[in-house]
Amino acid sequence: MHAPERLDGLRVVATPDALDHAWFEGDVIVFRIAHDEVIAFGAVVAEVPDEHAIVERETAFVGWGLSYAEFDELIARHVEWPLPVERPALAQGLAAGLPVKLWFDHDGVLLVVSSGFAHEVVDRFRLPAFAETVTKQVTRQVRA
Amino acid sequence: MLIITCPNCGPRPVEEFRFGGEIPQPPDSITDPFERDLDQVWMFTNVAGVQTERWFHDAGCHRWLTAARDTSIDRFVD
Repeated sequence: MHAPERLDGLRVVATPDALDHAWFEGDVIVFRIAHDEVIAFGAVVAEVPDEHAIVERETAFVGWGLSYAEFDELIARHVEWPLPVERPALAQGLAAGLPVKLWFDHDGVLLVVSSGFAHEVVDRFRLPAFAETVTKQVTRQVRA
Repeated sequence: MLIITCPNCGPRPVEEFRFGGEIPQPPDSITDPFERDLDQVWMFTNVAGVQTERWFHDAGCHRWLTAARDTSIDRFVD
């Protein structure tokens, strides 16, 4: 288990058919959060076949990479709804009272939350906090 | 636990949702379009039985959905 990473990417709102055929450059994880909206973490360029598509930079999320053993030990007991069995799969909802997004891959689980909830996640799930160096960098940027 | 089935996310506890109010149907006796709009927005029937409601999936997909709930037993129906 690692300290959380800031997850940058693109948020795209378009027609469902256009999102089915959208292309994202780079090594991306695409969260289809609704039929007409995706968040593509890791993407910097998107090609969406919809002239009315809205493509915006998304920088508001942080994520923790967990093994399935860690997920079962720390997270699963806080989830009161059925988890997906297929892989990969996205699930989103409340866990321990926090709105989370869970990405189930073949290798492990990515726990994603809005960065405003990062410290609550650390407290409620006993997950590692941000590395001190990252905190100092952010503090320096805010002060500058 | 009261469960709402979100079309995007699947069955979820009601705590994940925000209530958006019932969707009232104006009576047929009101024919003027303006009066019908006024009635639909402001006049609630608050039935003891099945009523159609709007719910917002606040902790999930951030989408509105329409659901039918039997208010007499507080359960969602198909």
